Amino acid sequence: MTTDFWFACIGAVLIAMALFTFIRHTHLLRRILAFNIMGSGVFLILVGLAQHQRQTDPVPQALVLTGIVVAVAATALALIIFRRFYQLSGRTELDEDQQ
Amino acid sequence: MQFAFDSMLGLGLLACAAGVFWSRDLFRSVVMFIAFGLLLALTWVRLEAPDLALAEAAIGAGLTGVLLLDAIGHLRQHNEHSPRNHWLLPLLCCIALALLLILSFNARPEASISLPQLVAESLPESGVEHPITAVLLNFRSYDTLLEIAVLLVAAVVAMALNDGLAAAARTSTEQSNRDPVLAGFTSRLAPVILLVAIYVLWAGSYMPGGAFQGGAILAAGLVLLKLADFHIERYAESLLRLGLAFGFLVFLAVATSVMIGGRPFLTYPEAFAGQFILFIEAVLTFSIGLILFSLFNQSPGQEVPHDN
Amino acid sequence: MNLIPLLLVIPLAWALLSLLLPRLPIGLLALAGIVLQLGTAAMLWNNVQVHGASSYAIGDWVAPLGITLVADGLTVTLLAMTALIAVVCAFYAIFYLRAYEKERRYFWPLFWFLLAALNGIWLAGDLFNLYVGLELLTLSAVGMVTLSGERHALAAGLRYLYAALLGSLAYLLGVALLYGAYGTLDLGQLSSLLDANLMTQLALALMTFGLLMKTAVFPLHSWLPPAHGGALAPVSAILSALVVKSSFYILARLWMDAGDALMPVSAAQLLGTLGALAIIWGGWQAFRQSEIKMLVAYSTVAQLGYLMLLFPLAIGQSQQSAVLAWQGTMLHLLSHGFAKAAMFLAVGTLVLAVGKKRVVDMAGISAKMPLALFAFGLASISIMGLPPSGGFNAKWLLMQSAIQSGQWHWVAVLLVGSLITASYVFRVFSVSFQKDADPQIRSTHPALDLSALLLAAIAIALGFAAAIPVELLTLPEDML
Repeated sequence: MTTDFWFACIGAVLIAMALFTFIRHTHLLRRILAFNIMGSGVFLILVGLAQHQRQTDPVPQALVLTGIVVAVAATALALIIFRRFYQLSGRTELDEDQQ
Repeated sequence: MQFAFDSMLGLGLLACAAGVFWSRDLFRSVVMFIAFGLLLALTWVRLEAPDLALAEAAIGAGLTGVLLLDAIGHLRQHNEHSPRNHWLLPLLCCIALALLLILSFNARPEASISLPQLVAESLPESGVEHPITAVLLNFRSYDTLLEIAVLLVAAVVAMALNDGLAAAARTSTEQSNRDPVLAGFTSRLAPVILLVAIYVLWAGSYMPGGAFQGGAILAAGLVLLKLADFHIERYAESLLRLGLAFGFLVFLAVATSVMIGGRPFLTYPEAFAGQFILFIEAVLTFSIGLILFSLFNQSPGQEVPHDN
Repeated sequence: MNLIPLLLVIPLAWALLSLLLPRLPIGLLALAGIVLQLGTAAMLWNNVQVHGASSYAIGDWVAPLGITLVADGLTVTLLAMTALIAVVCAFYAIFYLRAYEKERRYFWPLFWFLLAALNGIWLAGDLFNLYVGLELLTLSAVGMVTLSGERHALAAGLRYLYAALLGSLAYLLGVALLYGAYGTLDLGQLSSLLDANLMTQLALALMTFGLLMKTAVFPLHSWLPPAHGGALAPVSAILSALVVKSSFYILARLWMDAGDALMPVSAAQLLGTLGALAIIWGGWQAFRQSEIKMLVAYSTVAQLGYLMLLFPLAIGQSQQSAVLAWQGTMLHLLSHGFAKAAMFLAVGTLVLAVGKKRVVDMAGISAKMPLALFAFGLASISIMGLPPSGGFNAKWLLMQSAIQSGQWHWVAVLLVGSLITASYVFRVFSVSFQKDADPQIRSTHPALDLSALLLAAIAIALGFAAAIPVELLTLPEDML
């Protein structure tokens, strides 16, 4: 097993864990955390799989760099809307997600 | 030895992720998330991706962590309601997904196209020596242009939601509660951070580094100044919009102006490609730093939420 | 100078302009920009009609190293539709946003970023570039939904953002697998390389899931009604007419490019079934809504279901049936775009005038606001699929395709769908024509009625001139 392959597998497990959390939890911040880890899992697969038994590949690395920046933009946007929502409503979950 | 290290690192990632997902206290989750980011940075080093290690440490763990911590600081309680009851079916689905993914990795077909080879062949024409910078700012610079637009959109929405609100909040918290130790420390650290950001940017043309990492470091410095209560946002206010959009403006202007000479969109004149890229990276660093900082700065602040 | 990059440069430049100079008469400036974009799109449309499809290597780097943009018959038709709907919505927004001082400042930059993302998606030929385009689209669309900063708008925006981000990640995971398998991101190259194995199929399944999420196909639709129903009228119009179509467009391209070889017929039938359920469930929910904008939003959920019928009618069927299905689906996409934008604009005017949101508040409105109601009526003709309208022609093509391939159950779905649509549309009419009610209304600018009327007229005109876009959809370069 190569290093690249091993971390691609770790990425797959991370995605599954994050998805499970996303389905199960309704707290909006918890879901943002799940997104970020899910994204990291995807990035690990993108780089690890492309480099597995091949040479080091700058293209997926550049794509992941783009992906990280896009992820931080989305996270920041989600946090800003969430905090405004919390200010107005005092809630940390969307209304319809209540049990 | 290396395999043992990789195994530990991989299991450490999983353990941190488990901590993020399953600790009941959100503050603890975020701390675990930052630890996860640092381990991930180490992982990128193992995957021969030092650029990503830099970016992950600065943006993934650093800036995202600060944003999350700041958000948590404004929540009244960190514990959440108990999660949903039905869990068996989602659990089975998630396990199936992971297994399918890993199975499919084993059944990978042989690639007929080798992009790294193409990159290596075209590198001399790109004007920079570092392949990742070449991909980001030359071969796939269109992606980068749109990516800056994504950042800018986030900043615009932040401004829209904050409009009118921030001004009121700012005047009310005007009285300084500056921590002398933090302030003294920060005022000495700030020039060093600026220097590091410039170095990382400049290094990007021949070794790991570049606009995004430099911008993130710049943003970190600004965040530190703000935390030390230097009120830099007051100075930035008038120039903020211009600063936010400046990098994108220059990038777009350069990309478009070459079309007047009959060249395709987003090309650089061959002889000066390196200089053009460095120039664009410099303005991008400045803008990215400001945008990332403003995303932190514009977050809705201390107002007490009213109950229903 | 090539026209293709101009369609990206114009919206991006105008986005910056409206961000940096908010004190200029930004609405009029926007109108000038969008007319320029419409002109460019029209010229490109003409070019493609005369010379056939063309591609454009950005930065002079040819795929797979660089990113290639593709302008074929379908692309230019969608570009033209986008510009046309955007020009009317911008005109409407200038007058509509007079009542929204704060929102107006940030509406225009987001509007332009949204248009840039849409044009980028229609033209894209690269899987990762599509991801960045989708994110730009999502973030600016979510921003537009939350513009008012009210609690319900923020909740709708969050719901939309979370669903869309989940969709994006599923899509990106698929892209990662495809790159790992084939070493390229270029759609054109991939379509000739793709080959049936577990990795490819898993990748396509993940991408399909992500795109269905973003297209709000039943049962992944629950984010759409609050977002589209709660936004400002011009925002709702753009979201329903254009934004959800972009992820469907990627989905359709992916499936048609990959061809029947990779996609099992059972998966195509499953997608069709989801579409049928969307038609029935969305229609029923539209009928039950008490707020008029939510009624129109649920109508979008139902109408998106028709798009899904493309897959069972085209995958694994005869060439002739597949071509008919392709043309019918794309014509439906066009005519629904115009008709739904018209509907949202008309309803927005009604709500603005009455000052209340519920359907029952519209009682007796026919005497006071005849033009807006007429626009709503014209648009409904196309939505219901009655002749003469673009909606009718689209459903006629779909029905022919279903009959030719012997799949009678889809014919039944089409007929039942029209009946349900008629029932919720007539609910609005029966209320608005009540004689005894005398609603108090604020006067609205006639330009608002005019814009809705114009879009509705285009949806009807597609009933007479359907041949023009449909011919372009069967150019030899077409992917079928």
